[in-house]
Amino acid sequence: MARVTFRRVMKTFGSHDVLSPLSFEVADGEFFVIVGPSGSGKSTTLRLVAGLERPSQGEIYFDTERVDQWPPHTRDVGMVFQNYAIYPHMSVFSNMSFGLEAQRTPKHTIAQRVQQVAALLEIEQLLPKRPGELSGGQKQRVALGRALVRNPRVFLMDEPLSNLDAQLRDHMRTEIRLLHDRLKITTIYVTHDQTEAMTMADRIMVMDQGRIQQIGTPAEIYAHPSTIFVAKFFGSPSMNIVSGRIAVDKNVAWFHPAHSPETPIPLPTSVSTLLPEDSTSHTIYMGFRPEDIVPKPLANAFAFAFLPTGELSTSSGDATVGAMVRDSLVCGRGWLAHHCSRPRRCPPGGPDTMMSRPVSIDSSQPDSRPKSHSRSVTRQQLRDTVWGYGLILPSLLVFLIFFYGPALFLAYIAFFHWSIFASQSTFVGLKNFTTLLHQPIFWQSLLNTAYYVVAVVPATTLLALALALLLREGMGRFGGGFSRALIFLPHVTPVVATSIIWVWIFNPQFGLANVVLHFFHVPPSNWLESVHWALPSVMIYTLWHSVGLYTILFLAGLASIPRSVLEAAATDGARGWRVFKRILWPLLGPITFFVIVLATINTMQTFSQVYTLTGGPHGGAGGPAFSTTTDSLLIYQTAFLYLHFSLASAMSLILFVLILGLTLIQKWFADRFVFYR
Amino acid sequence: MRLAVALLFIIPVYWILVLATGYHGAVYHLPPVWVPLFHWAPMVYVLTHTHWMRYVLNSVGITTATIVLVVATSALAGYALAEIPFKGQTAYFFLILGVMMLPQQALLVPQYVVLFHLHMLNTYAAMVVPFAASTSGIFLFRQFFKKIPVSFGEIARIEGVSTLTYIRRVAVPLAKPAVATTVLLTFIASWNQFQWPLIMTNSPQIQPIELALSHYMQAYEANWRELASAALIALSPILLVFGFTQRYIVQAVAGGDLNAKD
Repeated sequence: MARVTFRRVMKTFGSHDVLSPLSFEVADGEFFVIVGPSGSGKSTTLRLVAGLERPSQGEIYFDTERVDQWPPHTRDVGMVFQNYAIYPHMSVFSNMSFGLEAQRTPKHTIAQRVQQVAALLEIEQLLPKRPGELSGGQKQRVALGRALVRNPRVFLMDEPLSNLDAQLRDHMRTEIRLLHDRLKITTIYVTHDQTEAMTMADRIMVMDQGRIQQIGTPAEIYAHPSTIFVAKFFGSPSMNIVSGRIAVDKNVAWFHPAHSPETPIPLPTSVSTLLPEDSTSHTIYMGFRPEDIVPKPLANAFAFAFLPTGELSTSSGDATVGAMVRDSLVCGRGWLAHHCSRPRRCPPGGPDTMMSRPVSIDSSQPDSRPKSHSRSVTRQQLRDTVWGYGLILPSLLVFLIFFYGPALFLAYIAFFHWSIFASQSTFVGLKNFTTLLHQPIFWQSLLNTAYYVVAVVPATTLLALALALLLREGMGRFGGGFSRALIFLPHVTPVVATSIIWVWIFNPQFGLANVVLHFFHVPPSNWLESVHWALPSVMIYTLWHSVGLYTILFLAGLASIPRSVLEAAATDGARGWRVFKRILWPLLGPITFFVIVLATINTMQTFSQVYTLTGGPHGGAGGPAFSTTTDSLLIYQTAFLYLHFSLASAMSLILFVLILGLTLIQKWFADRFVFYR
Repeated sequence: MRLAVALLFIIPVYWILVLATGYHGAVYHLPPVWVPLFHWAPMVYVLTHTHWMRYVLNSVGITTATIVLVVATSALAGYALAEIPFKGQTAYFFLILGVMMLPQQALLVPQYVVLFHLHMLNTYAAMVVPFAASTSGIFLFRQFFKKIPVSFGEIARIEGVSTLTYIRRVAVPLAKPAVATTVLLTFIASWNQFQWPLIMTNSPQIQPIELALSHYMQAYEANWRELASAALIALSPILLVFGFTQRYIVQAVAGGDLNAKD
């Protein structure tokens, strides 16, 4: 249990002042409610107490200990969030014990504490359950229990009842207050609901725009609001306010309402004594509660009424008098407020003077604000930086060592004569590249790759699109999902394992491919063993292996087209080809572009199937007469069979630039011709 | 119609089963044999009379280690990118995008050189460590962590739960779909590795199954039943996993739901 003291606490986010200097004190064991509209700074104030935010300036004390720079868990606060923050994957017991476990509390102590609190809140039977099985009210209790288990010095609640229905809210209101009366834990409770504030609080602090408007008991705040904001905030329907000026004539203060200055109202002494000294030079606001308006005439009351005509009626006494004539304004049970018309322009120190129990601020203390400000910012930032880099470090190292490092090194060895066996490397400029350009096999590999890409990319894209359109509609008897999976399956199979079967399929004597050709009366082919058919055979394999991936991507693109668009087209009488041409195709633009880029990048780097289908025992390395020697195969052979690392690097660099260049060209093309939603 | 087209795609996979378990010489039969006979003798032979078990275990070990590391590094980096505001966050984001754009084939030579200098050639580490971080894994975890309510982390701070404990016991269990997707995609990629071990290893002791299969293919070209059996061994874990999780894998690849919505 603790007394909580704020001394000139300020909070800024960037250049935005969230809290103007706040000074207030919450007494030990008090139920203190902070109320205000959204954006008033009430939640920030609570988070400052919890330690989830650090003040930009000022000091926060628990009793005599200054805590504003302490990390949250050292402050011994219990907090209940609006959404309860109960972990859905843990049992109620684990939720309640999680914090204690983290503090390495002995197991039996934990169990004992949880049981005690569960008994107190009557949730013992819920302990083994999952949060998903609980009702709103039960979750609320679990959230309370979880905070209480830690035996907090200060209990913080951030709009804890706003997720409950109205009836349950009333019930929990009473219950939380009763719980507080039993445990007497200092409680700070944030709400935007004036009823909650009025019914639960020992004292209320009203906030607006980062400032304290008033602190007081519910009765004080209701009867003597110190600002127009407070006056309007409490009560439903809210208080009526009339503006006007005060003029003193023959020792009687006269109120000249702004809407009807020529019909002044004499103020009784009970009211006029409340007026500030310089009241004649200010606009004065007079407010009265609707429930104080009663039909006139009534005895015992002093009151006055402003009728639209300016007609005035008064009476005196304890109760109220007045007449309500349509939109007439009635001032009852003499209440006056002095306030400048714009709260933000209040004179400095204004909010402080409004507190009913102002905190004694030791003015002899020098202002140490700027120092604490800079320190807190750097400490938090430092912590975040350390953690941020710590957490990305493992993956960062992998990326730097095995990807970016090699990428840089590539640019280096391509211009050097470098060997894995020699310790020295010599700069040779562009010699690796000129050597390369004089090698017929290099040009052959480029041609092969170009042929391969130009054939495979359009074929895969079109086939994938066709398959996607075929599979698009809902779930048939065997489910679109099942067919989808079958078409996608080849893509996840290991290349070598499935290459084995394709080598057999392409077998000139017994393979399935020639059986099929025979069926259609087409002369058989030598497939992988033929100069002209080796690369197309690899293309067929690649088509089979990868088209499922692009089909799935197209299906995702189709799924993102709203059904309503297609229904609208159908209503307009568009059918088949027209729908495709005018609606689907333009809307599929971005995904088609993506598929083409991806397919190009992938096919330019095809290696495994070229290697296994034609690189091994079949026609030597790279197919018969190098007909399947693609760029990646040539790089592999140059580097790892002939150990010409520099030459292979030069080749890699060219491939690198080619792929990057193609991607950029495609991007440029797409920016101009593809319709992005 | 739809199903017929789809079945066409799995004929080659089906044929592996036919050849592996068919009678001796079924490969050379015309017209082709269509029905598997479920003779498992060649499969047993491959598993018992060759080093095949070793290759299977190599693949299992490499894949498992890679999956564990990828999930760990992705969860950590994903958490940092999602939850911790630190200078360099955006830079790291772009650095990851950059890795995604690097063409793998063009990097193999310098990667080999780096492994050479790190004395990692021909080691299990060479099969695992370079793949211990995954760009898509990090983005996936980041995306899921961003969906976790802020108050979950704040209450952990109030209760004194350390960042690592929070990640392990709260954030990761709440990001189960991200874990599942990362595990599945890493499994497929890692199990199917071929070119990398081909270049980075030469010792049969640490070869994974795909590489062994390619050597086997060259050595035993005529023994079709054994060859197909070996291929089936390499294929079946993928088929099994895919069979049970195809819905999730397909969705993970598509990056979202495939069913039309309004």
